[in-house]
Amino acid sequence: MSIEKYLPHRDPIRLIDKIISHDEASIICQVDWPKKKFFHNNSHTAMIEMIAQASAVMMAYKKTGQDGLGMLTAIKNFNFIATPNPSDNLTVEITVEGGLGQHKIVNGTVYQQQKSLVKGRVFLYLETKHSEKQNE
Amino acid sequence: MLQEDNTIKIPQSLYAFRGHFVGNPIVPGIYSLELAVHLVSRILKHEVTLHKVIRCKFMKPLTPGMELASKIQLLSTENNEQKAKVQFLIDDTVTVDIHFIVIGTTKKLC
Repeated sequence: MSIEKYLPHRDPIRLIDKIISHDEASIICQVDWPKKKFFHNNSHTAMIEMIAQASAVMMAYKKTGQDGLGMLTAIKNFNFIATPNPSDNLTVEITVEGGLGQHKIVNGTVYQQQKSLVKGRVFLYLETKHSEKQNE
Repeated sequence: MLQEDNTIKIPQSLYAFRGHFVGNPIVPGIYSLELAVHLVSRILKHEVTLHKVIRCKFMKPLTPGMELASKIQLLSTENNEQKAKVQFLIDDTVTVDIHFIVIGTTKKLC
């Protein structure tokens, strides 16, 4: 199934390529990094975007994200440990830490061959479905 | 996008708008971070690399045609690490607020 069902991002901005595994509170996604040449000169900020996109995939996949557009409202405590090798794929692991209403707090880590490259936290705001707004 | 006077004009035809998002163009948040790092690099007159994002808040989506002012503060320096705060503003209202640390390289900007 196409990842684009769960993510509004399209080329050249889409970074997440597939879901590897998931459970109730977490998801692991793959990025075909050698093909993402558009981002290779900006790999640190690209890894932040990967965590944001993987979070969006998770919310949509779990249907907690309603059918609206999720917005990245803040990022916090991103520590860059290493720069990715352009010839290997990346994995992005996301864990939902909590949230209040439409606000979600998500922790993310990007790995390359089991080595952690960056860790950080993103804050998302998920729009409410039009039908839910009408019922309020 | 980044002007000589450190203001930012968001073009109508930014390449990223092709995929972010179709029919609803919004500047990806990471562009603001890249601009902030570039502004610090410009002030320090040498290239820097993003080392840590302490906190970054996006108050308002950035869309085509917007014009933003920037406010840059160089904070503490320790070893090779430069802490900085960059804000992007529209009509004196902060739209993006970034606290981060860069590490310097020896490469001088031309």
